[in-house]
Amino acid sequence: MILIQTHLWRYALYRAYLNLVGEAAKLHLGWLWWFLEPIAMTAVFFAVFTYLRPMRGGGIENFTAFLIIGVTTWLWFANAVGNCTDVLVGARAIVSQMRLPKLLFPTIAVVSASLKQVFVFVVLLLFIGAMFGVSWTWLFLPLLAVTQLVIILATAAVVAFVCCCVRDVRFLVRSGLTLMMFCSGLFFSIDDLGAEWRFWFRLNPMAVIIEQYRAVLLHHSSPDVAWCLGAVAVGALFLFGLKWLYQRFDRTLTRRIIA
Amino acid sequence: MRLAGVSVVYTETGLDSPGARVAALRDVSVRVARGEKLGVVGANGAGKSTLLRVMAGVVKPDAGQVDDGGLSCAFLSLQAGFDNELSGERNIVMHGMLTGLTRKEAQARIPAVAEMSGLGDALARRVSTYSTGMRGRLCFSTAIDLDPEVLLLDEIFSVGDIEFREKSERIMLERFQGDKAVVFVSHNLKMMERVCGRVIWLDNGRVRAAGAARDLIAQYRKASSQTADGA
Repeated sequence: MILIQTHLWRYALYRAYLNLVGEAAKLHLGWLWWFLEPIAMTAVFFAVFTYLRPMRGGGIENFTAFLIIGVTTWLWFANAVGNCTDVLVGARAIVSQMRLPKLLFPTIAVVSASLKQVFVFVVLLLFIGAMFGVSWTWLFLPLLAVTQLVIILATAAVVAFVCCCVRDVRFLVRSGLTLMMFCSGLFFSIDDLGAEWRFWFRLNPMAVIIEQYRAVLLHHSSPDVAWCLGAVAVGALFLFGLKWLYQRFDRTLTRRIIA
Repeated sequence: MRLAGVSVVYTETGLDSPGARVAALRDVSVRVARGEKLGVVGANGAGKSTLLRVMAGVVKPDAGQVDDGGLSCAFLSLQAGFDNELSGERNIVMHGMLTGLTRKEAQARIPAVAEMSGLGDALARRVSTYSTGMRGRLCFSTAIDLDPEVLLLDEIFSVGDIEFREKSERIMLERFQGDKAVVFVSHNLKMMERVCGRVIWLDNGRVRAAGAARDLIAQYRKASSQTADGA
């Protein structure tokens, strides 16, 4: 089976569901936070970029929707990857008890973040649909979501692996994510950058995927399907490489987790 | 199941001696025959839990070979990998799913585990509210219900009341007849003498002695009391 065995995918889904139920049970507003969190973050960015830097957003049509698409898409990536810094070390109790592929644990973190993202996308689509109407190009959204999921899974697996082997790296992950956020075109259009910068920014897959979501949702145009398929293919190859890496260093990972 | 010349070395990551290498097992060779009930004794830190983890395939050795003969193993300790924030029932389901059951199949096990553990309504409560004895009951009942071919028990009977210990010993002997094997780490030497045919004595990561349960336990008791007297 792809990456982990079928029964472990079933476990990952159930575990992710329980993570969400457990998290919601501890909060006064429960499930509402899955909607409120992206709304709050979007509101903060909107206030900052609209009122504190009035020149920003001026050149971009429908800046609020532009920003909301960028932030909600980015949060899926950032939450999933950010949760993977301690995911292997946090699995100590079960790793010291059962022989399990370690790739299972970042997978659970990504599935948990992805289930939350379903709520976020529902709100996003309702908002965008009400503001700009629904288009047949929305049929491309599953392709974009799968592409982004592959990118997230590969990044999360790398972060989990590296943070388990060299724990110091976990301190750099948040800074790295912040840097990547500013390089992903959340607050500006990469098309507005000079040609020499555009090339470098588009090496960041999150920057490109955010552009694709905006193309579909705001401009009702088709995404770059070839890029998406290429990203899925490269991501899948990368994931198989990571699967080999996890198997090859399983002993090291186990010792790091148990010790 | 056969272990030949197995060594395991851990690297300390703690505050006091980071990077220090600690040999948990040194050149250990053990064979567990089909249907055998093997006991493992030794002082704290002798390498007993590591030996079971190697047998379960959880820890790969730094040297030596492990041949599990393709048998399904269940490793049981009081840590048990339970999620304290979830109920006993949810933990039973998750444990079952990890071993390959579907969610429905795993849920169907709950009544049997409830009956065997005697936990009753407490299964609906979070595991964090359980006493150590209750955890032991849940742990043993969850694993034994999966019917593994080799059961690896790490101090599971050091907690819990007499009734549970007697019940679990009876269940273990009933279920683990024929080809099924049990490897049993415990400081409860009386129980070990009743259950096991053969015992190995681990000392500082090495096999110090191995032999018939009654003789070896007597030898171990004598050495332990001499050490205590000397101290």
